[in-house]
Amino acid sequence: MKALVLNGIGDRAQHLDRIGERIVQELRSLRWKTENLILRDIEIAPCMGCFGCWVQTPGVCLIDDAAREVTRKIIGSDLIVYLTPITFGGYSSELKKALDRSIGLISPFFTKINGEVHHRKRYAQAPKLLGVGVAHEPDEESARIFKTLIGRNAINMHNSADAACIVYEDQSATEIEEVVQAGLSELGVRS
Amino acid sequence: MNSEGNRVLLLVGSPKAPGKSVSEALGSYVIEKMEARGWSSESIFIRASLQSDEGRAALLEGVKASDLIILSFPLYVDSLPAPVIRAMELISALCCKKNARLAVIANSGFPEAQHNKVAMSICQRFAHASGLEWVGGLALGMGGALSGQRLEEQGGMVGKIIKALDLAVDALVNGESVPDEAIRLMAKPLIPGWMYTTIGNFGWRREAKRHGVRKKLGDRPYQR
Ligand SMILES: Cc1cc2nc3c(=O)[nH]c(=O)nc-3n(C[C@H](O)[C@H](O)[C@H](O)COP(=O)(O)O)c2cc1C
Repeated sequence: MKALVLNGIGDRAQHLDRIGERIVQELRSLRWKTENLILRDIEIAPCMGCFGCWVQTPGVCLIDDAAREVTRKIIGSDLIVYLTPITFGGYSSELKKALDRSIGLISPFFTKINGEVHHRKRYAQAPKLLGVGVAHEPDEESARIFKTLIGRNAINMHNSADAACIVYEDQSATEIEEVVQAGLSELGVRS
Repeated sequence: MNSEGNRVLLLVGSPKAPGKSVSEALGSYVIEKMEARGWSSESIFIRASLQSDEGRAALLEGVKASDLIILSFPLYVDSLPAPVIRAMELISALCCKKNARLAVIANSGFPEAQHNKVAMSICQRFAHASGLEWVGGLALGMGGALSGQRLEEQGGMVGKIIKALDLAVDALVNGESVPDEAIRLMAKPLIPGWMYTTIGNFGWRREAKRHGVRKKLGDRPYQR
């Protein structure tokens, strides 16, 4: 099984990379082939909102940069992990620059899910999604927004399962491991 | 007229070129109305401004000088476009003008305005983190039915939007928050939902045909 960690930690918070490393270690210990993508080191232009990935070169973004490969890796994985400092409740710009460029993974056509309009699938199977939000301090509202966002994304991108967890900057490696393990168990990745 | 306390900044969050986005059409309408009420204004396109040091500096200067910031953006993957988040990260590290306020306008491609809820919450948290007073947000569904044209030129369908924006302007110039009635009007479907998705699905086929890929719309180029 393959996992991809999308590490959206920014330049100024590189000390938080240790969280990404723990996630990778945990997955590898479960014998998952795991790749850790440090997005801040990857140049990805912003989405231009042209929908070319739907109606011009279906499934492929018109901008020829590293985002194409990231997108290929996302759909080629059985599990993706969004690792991000919780930023006003949502994702960091580093994580989001990759996600905005990945909508070619779904179809432009509309369908209804739970009475609400979304897009149809493009691929038969999308990976499971684990959101790992890093918080500076406990903040219920931000945590609520983050968890809701992961759930909403999972509907839109047709992730086959989703879970969100929050870790704190000052937590020990063991504490972080426990939180991540609980998230992985929720997804059925870990028994 | 440029009286103290009456400076509004429009931040356009769509990455599209000037004149092309729904975000700009909605935001510009508000700005023009506020100018007519004696406010001075500035408009900044976020994606373009982040491309250079000068642009970034101008963005931050613009924010610092404003009494009211209006952020108008498209919903991207249930949240805000990456460049807008980047701008928020930069702005929150800065000291805004005392008593400065933030109002937002969100527009989404799906018909239901409720898709914008998470993004609205994010904007509110951003205001809080940046010392800006949150004065509310308007959320619109069916953005795909609109264009970058001046709002007044987009036909009868936009009547509710114009009414909502007028109500918001009235409140904002008086130092009040965006009224509930404006939020309600803005969230009203422009056309029936089934019609929007039918026209939308037809539009994707038409566009694909124009590009000679009508039969490739369902391609899976990254299939394992
Ligand atoms: C990368 C990307 C992601 C999008 N994600 C969503 C979404 O999650 N929900 C939604 O309703 N619309 C979504 N849309 C549609 C836009 O919000 C919609 O087309 C909007 O009207 C564009 O506004 P603009 O002209 O101001 O850029 C997305 C569009 C793009 C390009």
